Amino acid sequence: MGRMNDFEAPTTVLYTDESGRQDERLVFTGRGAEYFRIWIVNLLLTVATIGIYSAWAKVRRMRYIYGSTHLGQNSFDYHGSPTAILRGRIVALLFFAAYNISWSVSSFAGVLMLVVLAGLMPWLIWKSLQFKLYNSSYRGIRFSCGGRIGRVYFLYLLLPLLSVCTLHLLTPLTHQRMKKFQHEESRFGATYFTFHAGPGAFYKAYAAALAVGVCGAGLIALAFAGMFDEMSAAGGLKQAGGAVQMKFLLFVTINYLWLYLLFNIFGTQIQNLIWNRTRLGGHQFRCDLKPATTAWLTVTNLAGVLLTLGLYLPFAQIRMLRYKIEAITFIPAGSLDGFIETTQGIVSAAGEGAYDMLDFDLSL
Amino acid sequence: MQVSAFYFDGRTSRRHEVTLQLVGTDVVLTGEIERRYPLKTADLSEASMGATRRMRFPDGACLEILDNAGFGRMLEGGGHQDSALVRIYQSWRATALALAAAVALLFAVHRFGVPVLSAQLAQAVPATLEQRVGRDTLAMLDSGPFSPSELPAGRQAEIVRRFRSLSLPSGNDMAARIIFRNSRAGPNAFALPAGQIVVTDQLVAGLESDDELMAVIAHELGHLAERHLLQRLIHTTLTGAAMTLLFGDVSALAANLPTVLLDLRHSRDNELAADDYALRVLRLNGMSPAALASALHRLHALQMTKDQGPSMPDYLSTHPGLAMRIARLPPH
Repeated sequence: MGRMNDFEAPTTVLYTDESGRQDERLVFTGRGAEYFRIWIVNLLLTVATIGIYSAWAKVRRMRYIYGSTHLGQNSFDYHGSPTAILRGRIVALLFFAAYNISWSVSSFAGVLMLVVLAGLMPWLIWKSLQFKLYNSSYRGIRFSCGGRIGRVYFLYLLLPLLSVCTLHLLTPLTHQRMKKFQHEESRFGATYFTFHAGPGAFYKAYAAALAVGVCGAGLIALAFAGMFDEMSAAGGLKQAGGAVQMKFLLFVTINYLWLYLLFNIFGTQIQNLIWNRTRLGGHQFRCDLKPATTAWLTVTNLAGVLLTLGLYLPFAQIRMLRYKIEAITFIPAGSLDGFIETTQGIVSAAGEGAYDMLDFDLSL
Repeated sequence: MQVSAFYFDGRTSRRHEVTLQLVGTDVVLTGEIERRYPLKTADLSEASMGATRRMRFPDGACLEILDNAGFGRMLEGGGHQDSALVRIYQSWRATALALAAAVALLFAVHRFGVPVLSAQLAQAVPATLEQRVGRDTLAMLDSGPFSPSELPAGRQAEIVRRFRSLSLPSGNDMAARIIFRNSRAGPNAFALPAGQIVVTDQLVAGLESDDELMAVIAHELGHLAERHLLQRLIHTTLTGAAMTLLFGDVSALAANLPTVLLDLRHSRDNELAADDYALRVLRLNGMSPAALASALHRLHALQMTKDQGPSMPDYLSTHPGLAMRIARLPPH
């Protein structure tokens, strides 16, 4: 057995009580049917309580998903408190209402509100990340996320603004910097994660997605060339008549579907990139999501949801979650026993609630 | 009886194999470590097919149960039962009932709850605050498709005089004024919350009689009387928040699309309510209710010739098709 020295934190001290530890692929044991029941009852209770139950619903959902995600023989746990989440959501609702109304009062009020929200957003994102990580644990040890507020504002306000000003040429760089920050400030117990992907890898991924996207859009436009001819012959869309208008609607719909598909596939490519280049102490990760499988899952899920008027939704979510989670493999450099906990302050939940309201997804 | 589990002390990630027993009111752990906790301080997760069953202890330690079946039997033997809520989550029949109830409730909220709440909240907003809403709209339009009216001053005065002489169902305490504009966008009339009713020269020219003009103006008064713009604002806010809450964890589009569609639906309902108000005004002032119908006919004809084709389908439009509105009015 190894010996652990408390004063050696934050580096991991590795046990070597087992030789030849093999790679562990994450396993997801969540079931669509069970998640469906959770989803339906959550929906009813949320509506019946005018949204108040939504915080408890979220905790139930998170605990189910975390508890169904296994690494080795153990699963993850979620500790978020429903009252904390509820408080956060109420704050978010007030902001949402104030923003909506401000534009109608005057343009000045609207712009002012926008500036205020933009100013708060980086802090909210950061606090939400901290809340989520602190309330996640594995084998009794909690995750956490640090960081300095100056860096947060640089990454989540300044860089995105610059990015917009440069016609999004800086977006891959911004994305890389954000992920680097998130991962390198995150810890499991006392052990920091490290991030080893540079901006170049992100630029490649974005460029590939852009190229594929443009090619696809071009092919779609080509397929509809006849419709465009009819439109210009008639002198406009309204003049061209009902049949052409239906074709145009189809054209727009197919473009949206293509965009949706591309977005999902791009997301999985980024997930691969991020996990392949993330380490925890000496341990590594591998992620092998495939574009073809992702495309298949996306399309069949969408079809299922539409055909069942939404009832298939929880099944679709579980299906996609399973694929995304089980694509990750943990490559240990030694025993998993050697992580130690650090004392950690409680992170406020205003961040997490607000984030839910505004529907960002900060999954790593 | 004994159940096997993994124990984590919350200080290191080291895993301990233990067996647990219920002894009296305590949970007793034996094996690689020895512990004893009062059962009522332990946070027990519910039974699940997919997720690990666990116990969380106040000192930060936790257990992951390995033998779920055995653990279930042990709890039953000790007289512990899952709460009613948990049993609902686990039962297919209860879930089916919950689905039906959820759909019914959502429908009721959408159809009755939100519109009624929007109307109530709109009434509660003080008039001065409401007047600020939409203040910029006229200025924006003036720098866009609107230019000063080319209607002769005498004609404008005549219309205003006629308007002021109308008796209104809600009393004459509404501070409404008529404003004339020349519009590149064709015949139009709309109301601003500050009490202005904007009428375009093209509308005046396009209608046959002053009765028809008064009918259209009365429709706009209906919007003002029932504070529709404010209601719509509240409605979209409430619906947007509700949609994000319900579907936000799925996708932003799923949350926003229903909001837009419901807003359009609510707008259409408001338009029909304004039509009803206009009819009341016409009757109150001894004018033929047919004036509204013929005004709408004429506007429909003008729209058809302008676009040279059918307009957008109903559910995508804020105004129910003119044809539908005309069909709704009482026959003359």
